[in-house]
This record gives sequence, C-alpha cells and structure tokens, in this order.
Amino acid sequence: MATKTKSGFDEKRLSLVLLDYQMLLKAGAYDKETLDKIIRESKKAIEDTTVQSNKDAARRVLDMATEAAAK
Amino acid sequence: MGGRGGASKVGGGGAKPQQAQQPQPQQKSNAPGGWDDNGNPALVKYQNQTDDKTANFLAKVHRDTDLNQIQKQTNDPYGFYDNDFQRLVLQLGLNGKPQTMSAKQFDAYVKNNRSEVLYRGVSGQDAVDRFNNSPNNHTGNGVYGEGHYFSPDKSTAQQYARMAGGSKSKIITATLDKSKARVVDVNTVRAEIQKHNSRLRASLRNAGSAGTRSYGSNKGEAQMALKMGYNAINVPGFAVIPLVRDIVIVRGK
Repeated sequence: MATKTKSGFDEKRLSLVLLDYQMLLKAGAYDKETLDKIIRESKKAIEDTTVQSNKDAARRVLDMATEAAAK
Repeated sequence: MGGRGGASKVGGGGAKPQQAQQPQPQQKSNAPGGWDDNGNPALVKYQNQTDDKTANFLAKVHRDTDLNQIQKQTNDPYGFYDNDFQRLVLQLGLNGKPQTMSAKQFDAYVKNNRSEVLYRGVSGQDAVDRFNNSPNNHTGNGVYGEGHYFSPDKSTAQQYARMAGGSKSKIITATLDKSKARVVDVNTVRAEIQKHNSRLRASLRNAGSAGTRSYGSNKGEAQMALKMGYNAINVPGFAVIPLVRDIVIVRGK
C-alpha cells in the first residue's frame, strides 16, 4: 500500500478511518453533523487516495452515508 | 474496534513528562463526573480552570510537549502517535496500566458484575504489549475523540484487526473496572463543549500534526470528558472509549 495520499495523509490510517465510518454507519451511531462530515471526507478521499482499495472503501462509505442522509 | 497509535515523528519544546504543575494540596475537583484520578493535582487543576485558562493551558501543552523527549526520558520502547490528547495525558500523568486477570478470573468478574465484554483489534503483539505494559498511556485517534477504541462486537474488532495487521493481528479482550470507570455518553460531552467559549472550543479541536484535521477529525471530546470528570466515553452501539488504561481489565491466559 502506498504510504501517503496526494495530500500527505497516511494511507493505512485512511483505511482505518474509512472502516470507522463504515462501522458507525452500520451501527447508526451518527448525527447529522457527523453524517455531513463523513460525506465530505469520503468525497475527498475518493479524489485524494492513490490506493484502489481505499478508493473503493471511500465509495462504499459515500453510498452508505448518502443513503442514510436521504432517510 | 481498532488500534491506532504507531510511532510518529514529532517536534515540540521541552516539557517534562510528569505532571505539569503542582497546585495547592487538597484542592477538590468541581467536575460533575466526579473522577479526578485519586486527587491527581494536575488533573484537578485542569478540571477547575476557567475556559480561558484551560485554552491557555492546552495551547501550552501543545507547544511545550516534546513527545520524543518524553519517550527517551521514560525509556518507553514505543513511539507516540502525534495528537494533542496524547500530550495532555502525558502532562497530566494519566499513565496507569491496565489490570490483567487470568481468563478464569476475568470470566467470573464479568459474570458477577454483569460487565460488558469489549474487544479491540490491533496490528499485532507489539500493540498488545504497548497497551498492557508501556510506561506511558499511548492514545489513538477517532471521530468521537482520542482514546482506546473498544467495540462490544467481536466481529467489528476482528475487521479492524485484519485491516491493521493482517495475519499478525491480535484482539485485546477486556472489560471496564466498575469501581474505577466513569463513563459519559458522547452526546453529553458534545453538548457540554457547546456551552464553553469559542477559545476553548478551538483549543479542544486542535489535533496535533498527525493529519486528523484532514480525516477523522473530532471536536476534542476526550479532552472535554477529562475536564468533566469522566475517564471513558460511550458511543452507543459503536464503541466504548477508555481514556486511561487503569480502568481497563484485560483478559489474560
């Protein structure tokens, strides 16, 4: 796995942050502000990461968060 | 739930790892949660400070805490993850170690106290040793504040473990020591943060240089929970986040 994203964030750490978001979305442990942040950060991650698995994870998170926001 | 807290390169000033200031003896905490680490004077002072003084103190902690120096001075084999809650924990001297019980004792404790079993997925044995034995309390970061993220769901911890360490990963099985843990709901902490002035809120958000402002940033929930007199944060359905280790009982062999 590449070490850093284009903006210099650790890719491994990003993978864990994205997993955090998947888990808390699955658990329903969010408020609107958190949801907005997840949408914002997952969109950024899709553009920022250079690792395909992180890109895929960010897309999954964005889909889940967008669906949750629509409810 | 997963472990984050590997080695990092950090800079900073020359603060000593022990408690930053020694206020008047017998000072009592005004914190509503009631936990003051057995009258830890540095923590009591932090809890009793006004918003502006707390903001000044957090800025000083950020500026003057040299994580590398502390690691050397304390002969700590593990590097710190660079976040401001880590600096605060070191300056307040909140470095107590977890208790380890045999599996049999642990299972009996959980049963007798109706305690919740918690799981933390980590990258490997080094991370287990760091949590159990390091002379310092190494805290990771997360969207609900810094601390040690544990999940009540073992499969969640296993996912974090796989992600963090692959085949070398480990799971720490633990519970909170009911006689020591003071747990607060994350929403209570967030509501409290909103009651404080903008200077303090900005200081709480200061996340260090590890990039937590980029992803997974938080509002400084852990710093506020300590100020409120709590030592663990509960995120219902997601995580229990001990802020200190000595409220944790680890299931041994």
